[in-house]
Amino acid sequence: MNDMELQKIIDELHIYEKKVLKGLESEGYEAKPEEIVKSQNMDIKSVMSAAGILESRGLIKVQKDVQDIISLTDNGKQYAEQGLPERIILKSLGLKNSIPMKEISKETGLNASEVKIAMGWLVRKKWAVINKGIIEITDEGKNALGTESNDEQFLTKLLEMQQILFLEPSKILKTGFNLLKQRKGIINVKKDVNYLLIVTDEGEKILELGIDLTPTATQLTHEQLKTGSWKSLKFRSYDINAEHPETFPGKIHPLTRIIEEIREVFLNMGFTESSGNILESAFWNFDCLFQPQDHAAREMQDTFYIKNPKHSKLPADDLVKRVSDIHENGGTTGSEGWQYDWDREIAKQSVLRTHTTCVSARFLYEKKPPLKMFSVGRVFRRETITYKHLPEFHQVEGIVAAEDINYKNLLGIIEEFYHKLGFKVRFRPAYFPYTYLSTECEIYLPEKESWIELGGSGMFRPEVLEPLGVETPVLAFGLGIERLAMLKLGITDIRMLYKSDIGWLRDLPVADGIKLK
Amino acid sequence: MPVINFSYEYFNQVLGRKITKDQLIDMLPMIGSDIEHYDDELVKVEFFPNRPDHYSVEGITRTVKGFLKMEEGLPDYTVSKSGISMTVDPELRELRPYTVCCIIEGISLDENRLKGLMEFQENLHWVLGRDRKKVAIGIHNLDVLKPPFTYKAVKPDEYSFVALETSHKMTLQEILEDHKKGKKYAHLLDKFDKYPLITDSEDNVLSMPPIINGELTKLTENTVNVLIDVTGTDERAVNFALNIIACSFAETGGSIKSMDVIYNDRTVEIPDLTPKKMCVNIVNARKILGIELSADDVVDMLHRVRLGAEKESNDKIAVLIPAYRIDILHEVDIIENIAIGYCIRKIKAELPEIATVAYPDISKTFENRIREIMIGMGFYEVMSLMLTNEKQHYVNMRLDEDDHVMVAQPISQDRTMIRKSLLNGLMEFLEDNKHEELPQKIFEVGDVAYIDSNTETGTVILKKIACTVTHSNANFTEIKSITDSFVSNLGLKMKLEPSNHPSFIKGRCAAFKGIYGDIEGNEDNNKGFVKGFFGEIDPEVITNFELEYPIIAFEIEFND
Repeated sequence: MNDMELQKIIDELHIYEKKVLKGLESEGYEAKPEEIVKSQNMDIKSVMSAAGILESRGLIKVQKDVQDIISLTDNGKQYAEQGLPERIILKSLGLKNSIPMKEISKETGLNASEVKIAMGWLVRKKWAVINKGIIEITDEGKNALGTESNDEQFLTKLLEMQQILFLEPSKILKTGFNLLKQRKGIINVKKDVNYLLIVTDEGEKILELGIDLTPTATQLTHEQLKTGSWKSLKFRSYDINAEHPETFPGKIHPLTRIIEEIREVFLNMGFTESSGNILESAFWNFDCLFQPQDHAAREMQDTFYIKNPKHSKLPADDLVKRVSDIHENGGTTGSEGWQYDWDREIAKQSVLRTHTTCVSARFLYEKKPPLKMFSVGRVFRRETITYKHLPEFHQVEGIVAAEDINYKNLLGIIEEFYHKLGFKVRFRPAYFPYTYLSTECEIYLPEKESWIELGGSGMFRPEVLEPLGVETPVLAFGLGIERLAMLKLGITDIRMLYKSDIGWLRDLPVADGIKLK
Repeated sequence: MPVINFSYEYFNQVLGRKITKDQLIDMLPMIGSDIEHYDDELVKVEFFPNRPDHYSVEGITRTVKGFLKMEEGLPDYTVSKSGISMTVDPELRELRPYTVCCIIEGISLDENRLKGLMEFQENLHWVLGRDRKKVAIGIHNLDVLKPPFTYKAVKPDEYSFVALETSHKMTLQEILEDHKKGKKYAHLLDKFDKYPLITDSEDNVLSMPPIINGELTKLTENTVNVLIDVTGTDERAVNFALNIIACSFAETGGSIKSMDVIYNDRTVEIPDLTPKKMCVNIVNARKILGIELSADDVVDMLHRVRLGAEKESNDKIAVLIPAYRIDILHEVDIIENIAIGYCIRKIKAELPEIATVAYPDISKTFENRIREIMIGMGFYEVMSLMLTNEKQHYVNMRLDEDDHVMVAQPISQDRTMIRKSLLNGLMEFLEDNKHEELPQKIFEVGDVAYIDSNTETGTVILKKIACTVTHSNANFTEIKSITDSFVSNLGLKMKLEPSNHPSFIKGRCAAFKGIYGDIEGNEDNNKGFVKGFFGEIDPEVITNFELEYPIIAFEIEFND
């Protein structure tokens, strides 16, 4: 590093960091934190945190040294002075050779739990054996009468020294320590941590350049501004690369954002917004859309039927009659109809709506053309939850009803709609039970160089419109919003939208590719 | 929806001409299909339920021939009499009343065609037959049989025969109990004490509809003449199915021979391939499509899609619809066929010239305003499914179960009801994000459903908002401050009362009403109000969701 770089580091040092460096300089480039506390008149916390920062900048090294300190507990002290309980029993055995278990407490003055512990160790040290309730001294026990075992030696030493720094103990002390460690409440082991701060070569260079200890200002304060003291202050430079805490701004859900984008497009194009109930009668969801009552989509395996409340009320009788006629024989539309006996009980069943087309149907029944309407809402299909499918998702549907509209207008409106959302669109024939000139819309994905299917459209069939009292053509188009959202957000698992990871929500950019030109 | 698999080689063989892969891949979607997958040899394409006549390669090539101008207009399939009869037992009226049948002579089968034929039948069973309930099809080797034939109702143990894919005789009862197909379709017969059976004059069993055929009449690569039987519960559907199969065979050279189906009160000669006649008005077609078309143009387009068409007057065309097309119910369907013949990609998109003024749904505008308040306070919006379950919604929240919307056949025990509250969805979200950094502040705005027998659907949808905050020191004061700020930003005054909401710690929950004030600041109840509650979530609830930090929450309901 050249002097300029070194000077920059100096400018960025906090006064505490400077003081620690200075302190180290006067102690011969290395010292314990406690020594700095004393010489620089700082508290230990400030010294340690300054040392941490200095180390991270490569100006000092912090050496850490950990030692075990061993001392006696009160109980341990008693044993050290009077002997371990097994030693007390051994002494008695030395006199009598054998003692019945029952009398041992009386004989030695030890309490029941001490006797229990002592017996264990007597056997383990092979000083005695128990034979039919009688304790008998062994030859090893007799030999032990005159010598101290390893653990006893350790206890004696500890009593003498008060505490032992456990660095390089002798083998005897080590076995003794290990034995005592297995017993409860005799010795304490405490970790003793010592630090040593050592100035590095870079640190020495900094010190050579000289550190100015005139106080520098950190936070600009209200006080400084009010009194004008800021004029004479030197503000410390900050390390712009230092860590900072994260800020998490609140955000609307990415799916909401896309729904809003779509709503805006529709409103801009003159479509009025409507909405409806997620629960519908099969009548509004299927029958008035000319879906025959044995249609595959109406089966239990595709549609959620409702157990409570099981049935809905049917609308006005004349509407029901017209729909019934349409199914049975085409009514007055000139259609053949489906030619079966229509059942009003089936039409009364409650379902979770399978599309937002029922909102369109209700709107057409109530309003007079010319009109443009759209609705966004949740719809339900009996799908198991996987990365591809959810049992509920959002759909948007737009309709236009006017005397002179035609299929070219359907394509025109859809083209404009997708254009506003940023996509190029193309069309191919499709099939939906309630439309003719049914058309699938495919959008182009430049990054994948391919067309993907995104939404359906068509003109409502006369069998749909006639019962609703609509006398003009009606064009309709819709799409699933989650699918669009997945494309826009670049995700492949649809569940992320509902069982989201909050980290993902926090990280997702709001700008969404929108920028100033 | 049915997916048809075939190789280009086989397609070209049936078509009788070579077209390139690219040509085919371009053309198929434009006749009404969705290509699922293709590679250098094979193509996998989905055809829609309105065109079961496209479920065989023969049917697809018939249409393609029109687009290539190889053959146009109504296909000419002649039917001659075979003189063979099928007598229908009157007892079948309740059981499986309709049967239609015919004979095809001079077919040639190979491995590809046999496989295609099986898939064709299965797709028709599914789409027209509702999994054999409405329609079941059998195709038999005619040359091993002795006409005439009988379709009768018999007792479960009256007959036994060797069913397909087996080698020993079984009674009808045994087939339903032990045979793979028998078990699969037994439910179609379980209401009856007699079963349908088709036999020849020597009592050989052709088929036990709608369950299984006999091994005796199984098709092989050497089969030349076949008998097709279609039985069912819907007269139109059985006829369509028979017509579709017969015409598919005829497309590759089979000759169709009719049979006499003898009911006790009438005899019908089957199949009747007389085309259906409809008219299309050119003015209507021009108006709907928005393109200039002459009568001759329209005739051309219709010929291209294999319909018969003849100019009746300058603005009226008579259209003949082949007996295998189920999709044409109304003039508009003919107009759709004109568009397909024209090719919809050639139609120029054009914006309509109608002026309308748009109004947003006020509830969506409102939702956006309240989102703004929550985001301003640093909350993240989340979305939950409306489908939940009683344990999560009631038990885990320490609530008593009450009347709620229940799904009849849930996809799993996790999704059995529609939510009435948003709080448990937020708790679930926190559970999923247990290991993410704290604090977590989330909210949801959404609809919930309540039972209300006075309404049309027996339910009422309410809008609610709920939020939760979790971190080590989350407490009552914090949530009170958040709630108060939210309510004031709605322009309301909060009026508190103590609440014993079971999801919250006793004594740390408040219920409130947000009330509008008049000009002088007095409460004005006429302007409506909102109500809700807030507090510290009970530790039992927190641990029910396996969470480990304090949680505070509010939930607010908006009335109209």
